[in-house]
Amino acid sequence: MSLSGTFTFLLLAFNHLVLLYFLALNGSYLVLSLLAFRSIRRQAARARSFEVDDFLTTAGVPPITLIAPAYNEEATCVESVRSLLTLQYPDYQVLVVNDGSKDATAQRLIKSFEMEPAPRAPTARLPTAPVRGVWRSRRHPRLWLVDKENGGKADALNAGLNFCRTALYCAIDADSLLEPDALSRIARLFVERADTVAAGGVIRIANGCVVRAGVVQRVGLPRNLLARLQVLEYLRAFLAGRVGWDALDATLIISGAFGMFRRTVVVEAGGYATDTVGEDMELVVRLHRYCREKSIPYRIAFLPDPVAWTECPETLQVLGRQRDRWQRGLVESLTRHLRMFCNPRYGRIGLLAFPYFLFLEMLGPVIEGLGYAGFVAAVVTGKASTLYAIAFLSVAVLLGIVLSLVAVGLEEMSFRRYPRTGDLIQLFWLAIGENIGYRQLNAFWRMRGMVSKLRGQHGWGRMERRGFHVEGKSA
Amino acid sequence: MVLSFPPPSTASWFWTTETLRFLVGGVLVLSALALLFVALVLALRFRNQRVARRREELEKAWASLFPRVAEGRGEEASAWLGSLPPRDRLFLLEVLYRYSRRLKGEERERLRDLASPFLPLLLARLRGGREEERARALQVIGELGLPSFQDPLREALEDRSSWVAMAAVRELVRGRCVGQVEAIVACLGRFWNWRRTYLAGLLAKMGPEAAPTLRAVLEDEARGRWERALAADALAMLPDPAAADSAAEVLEGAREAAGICEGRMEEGISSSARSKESEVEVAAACLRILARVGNTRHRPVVLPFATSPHPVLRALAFRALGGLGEPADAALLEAGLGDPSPWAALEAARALQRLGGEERLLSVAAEGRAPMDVLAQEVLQSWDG
Repeated sequence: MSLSGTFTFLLLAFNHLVLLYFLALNGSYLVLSLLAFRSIRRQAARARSFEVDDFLTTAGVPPITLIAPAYNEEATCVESVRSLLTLQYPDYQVLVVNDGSKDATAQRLIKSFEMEPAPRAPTARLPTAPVRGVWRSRRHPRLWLVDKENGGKADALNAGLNFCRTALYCAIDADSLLEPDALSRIARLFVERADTVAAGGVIRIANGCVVRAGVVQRVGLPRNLLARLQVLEYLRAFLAGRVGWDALDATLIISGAFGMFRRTVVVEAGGYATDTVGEDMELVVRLHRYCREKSIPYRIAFLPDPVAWTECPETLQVLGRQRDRWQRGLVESLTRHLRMFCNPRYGRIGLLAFPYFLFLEMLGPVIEGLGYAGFVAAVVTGKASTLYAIAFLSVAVLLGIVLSLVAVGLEEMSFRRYPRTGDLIQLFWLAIGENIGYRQLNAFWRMRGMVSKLRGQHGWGRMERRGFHVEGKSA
Repeated sequence: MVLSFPPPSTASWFWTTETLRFLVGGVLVLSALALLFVALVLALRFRNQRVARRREELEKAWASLFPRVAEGRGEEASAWLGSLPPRDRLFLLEVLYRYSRRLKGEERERLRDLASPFLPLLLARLRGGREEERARALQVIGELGLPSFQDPLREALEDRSSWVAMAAVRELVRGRCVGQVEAIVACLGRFWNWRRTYLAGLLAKMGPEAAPTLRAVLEDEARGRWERALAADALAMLPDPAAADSAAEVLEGAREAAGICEGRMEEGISSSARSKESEVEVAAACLRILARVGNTRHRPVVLPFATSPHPVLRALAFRALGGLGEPADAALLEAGLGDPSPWAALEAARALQRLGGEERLLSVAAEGRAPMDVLAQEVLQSWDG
């Protein structure tokens, strides 16, 4: 075969592979969306009939510790903690872990909440960077501060776990806003299924929303296009993806911004891994593995009604760094538990979720990124047939649009968080628009994440925050 | 740009012309369905907005009526609401439900009287609705229809959906239907995978009138251990002073029958000991009762558990000794500060303080032996703010 013949052969072969990848990816998402469709309406109906007040006034509701690692958060930490102290839950503690901030995070907390040194004996011995001191607020006895040397987010979470005194803990980002009833709604799962070891809630984008006293008062779409696209992306990932995986009882990701865990199981499994940037996913994968290997009956679930609001990046640079980091986290989580891959011992996790995440989410961006280039090359050189080109665009783009439309529809048929009809229509438009440029950019960033991983990069990358839109001013 | 069909050799690998056509056709059909779905969602949005507007108007009209009814001045309300079109009647119940939850005493009773002619509408829903609708109907009946509508609630304890059955349990408990305690306890077995302390909290909400039934469950050895532990947890939460003797008796029996106070730590987690897990749970629940309402008479029953191989039993025994122990137990509790279980050690420190052992705690705190010194400092410095 001549050189040009070999090139044509390889190009076509690759294009066929890419088409197969898109079919598998979007086909999987379609199946997940269908599963989510059934599940989410039921869950929304349950959420509506769940009386938070009745739940809260029953003795026996599990006490919870909120563990919030903070690093260089002096600008927002006081407001965030104040918001955490107003949650509707009868028995909870807030444990802020200052991870060796270089700014005045600890000092601001100590001063604002009138904290004083308070001895607190640890209940676990997970290795962490040295703890410099433990403080407790005189004004809010449920508020504690663990001040430690810098060791990273996972290390801070482990330090929090060492001082956690409750059976359940909730890991949150210090800059996330939990809805007032979020704890009750997520704790409900641990009450109804005593074998639940971990549960995640929905993360929604706060850009564009109006926040007052640490609570999202008015929901709206952000003005920034990049942020708006992420609203759609989060809807698809959480309401279609995670609800779908939960319906299959194969939840593999719980966001680090808001997840609740059974303390003993996490401690026994070794706590958070400090050598990965994807400590949230890695923990969930490890919990699956640990419980299966020890024959512990367990459930790891996702609920769509407890909500945490977070600020998303509004510049390409910051978003790119975030996606790069997520991809590295995914690669690290999956590669260190590779023995679960297609292993029937790990049930649906090994046979369904793991292959999906490995082939379609981990390797996918590489295939996708190169696939777009290969497709353009095939079309330009006239090697792709019209039918193939149409098929490619149908599966890669049109089917993608269908999935995004379905995700917006799911939101409207269940929780209806966007009350303005204009916002809803805009979301439908974005479902079409995101396929031109944004999706390809995402594939590029994630591909770059793969390269960073191969080059041994470990850093988090700097995340710039603009602050929530507080009524009357910009915070 | 020139587009041509691929050579037959490559087209026939996997993606034949037929499969590609089928694929395109399939996606086009899906796209059409998606567009239909979008149209449906938008139509649904407009419909929901219309309904919401109408309901807002109704609520506005009722907003002035309900307070008058609650104060006993809304004589015209029954006749006025009686003329409501059928489609609004369920919504009326929903609004009454929400309003009534904010009221107490006579005001609430008057509102319930107003709702009672409409409640039979919900009975139909109990028979035919989806499980979330059935559960909601029970909540509304529970709020507006008790005690007269106890029967449908009791029947719902047998509902095929545990979500619905739990809604019935909650309403019977909230309505303090003491006559239904037996029925509730009998049905709780179906919630074996729920958090037991939560269920116990529900039972405790029934108040002291439920105590005799719960004590009977605890004392009945023919009952399952899970049920007995549940009853004991509820008695501890009430708290029921009369349950202390029952708990002590159960503990005596458990100690002799299962030997859960003997053996080394390793035996506590061996497979044979695992079969005793539920026995341990009953014992733990009984120790909780004694920790709350026990007295010095129960000390001899509690003491052996302070050396149990099960950390949870040691912790609870220490806690109980803090209340019913004697000064002579201080040495045991001081040794407990070095317990391998941090929970047991913490309970020992707290108990030592309750027994008046501040001096001992001060000396431990000063000795600087970690982690006991921190534990002692913590307990000495603890305050409720």
